[in-house]
Amino acid sequence: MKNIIRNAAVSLLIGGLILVISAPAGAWPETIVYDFITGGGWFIQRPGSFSAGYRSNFGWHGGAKNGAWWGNGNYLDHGPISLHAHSIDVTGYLRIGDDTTTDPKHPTGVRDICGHAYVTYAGGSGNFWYRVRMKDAGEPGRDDKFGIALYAISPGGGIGGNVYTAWGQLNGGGNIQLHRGNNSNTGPSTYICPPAVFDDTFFFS
Amino acid sequence: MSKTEYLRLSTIALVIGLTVLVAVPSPASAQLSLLGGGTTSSTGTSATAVAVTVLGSTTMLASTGNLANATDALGAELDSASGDMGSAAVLHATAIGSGDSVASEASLGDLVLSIAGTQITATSAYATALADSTAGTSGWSSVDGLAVNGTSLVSTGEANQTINLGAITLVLNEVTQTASGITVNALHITSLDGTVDVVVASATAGQ
Repeated sequence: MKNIIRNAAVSLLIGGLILVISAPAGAWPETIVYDFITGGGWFIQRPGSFSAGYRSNFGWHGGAKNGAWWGNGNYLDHGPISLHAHSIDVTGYLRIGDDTTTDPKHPTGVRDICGHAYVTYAGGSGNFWYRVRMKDAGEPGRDDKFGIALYAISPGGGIGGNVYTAWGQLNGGGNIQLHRGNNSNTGPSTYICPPAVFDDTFFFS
Repeated sequence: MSKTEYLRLSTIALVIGLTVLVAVPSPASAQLSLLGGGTTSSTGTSATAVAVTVLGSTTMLASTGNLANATDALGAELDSASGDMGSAAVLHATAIGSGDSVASEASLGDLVLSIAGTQITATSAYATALADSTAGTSGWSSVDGLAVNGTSLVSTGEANQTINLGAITLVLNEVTQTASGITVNALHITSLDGTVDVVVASATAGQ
């Protein structure tokens, strides 16, 4: 009996430590899920964004399909940097936090899509890692939110430093839609995503 | 091969064949039952960012094509598009099947069109359509920053808001409902002489 209690205590301790390591204070849990999120529209970049106060347009979609990560997207920053990003591939798709819907047919929640993008901007172009965050807060879309962060590709293909971040709310126009999964929603059990650098207070308020 | 061996192999082959037949799932149904007893086909579900028809010849930009079945998913993204008639950026279209419902959406930004001497601009256009086996069909669209020859036009949000400008006619939030589905166009422009027809952000579910 003593052994059982001791083993249980050790398991709880290890479990607790793992939980602390994998979910740092302030971070929202990231979970692999197999469904879809889609959206298009525009927003004014919030304070803290690269081109705060300027308009951005986007169209993006992601998920898992037939055993692979799936998606594509476009993003255009109308600020002086005149940055345009187009997804090349998808290396991860994650649910951030918990879904919030009370209607099982119309889930609402936050998804992050990751991968590589080809980026053009005033003075240059090249490939970068990206992490896109899309929040479906319900219809018609004025409370939905979109964010994008770009990261350098380090020598060897790893994830380098964050070089660009922008986010905003679609109170101007457009919509983000989270879709239930279907039979094609099988996906990898692993993913590669750059670290999230979005303003959690903004996305989860 | 003896008769016994032949019969045994035949039996094994029959069992394997029946097992495969049972184990391999049939394609998801292409028909979704709609409220009220109607049905809709998932395979008509599609979205297109822009469709331009001039003298009967149609060009579609960022178009998903039709869903193969109710558990298919399709997407199309285009950086930008430009031609004699105008330009647009960030063209986007998706069609998603969720088994008992199908949905599609289309959007674009920075629209500039010149039709029959009239310039039409918009910051963004978006349309979405949904066909659900129990809830029926629904859809809506929005056009932001719409202006004609530099003068702002306000979308009321009502279905089929029609604005006649002489040489051209604009329909905002054009909704076409049938027994089996729905099509929503954010903006539909036609020339009076019938030679030009432009649909901006079109989403179809069912049909």
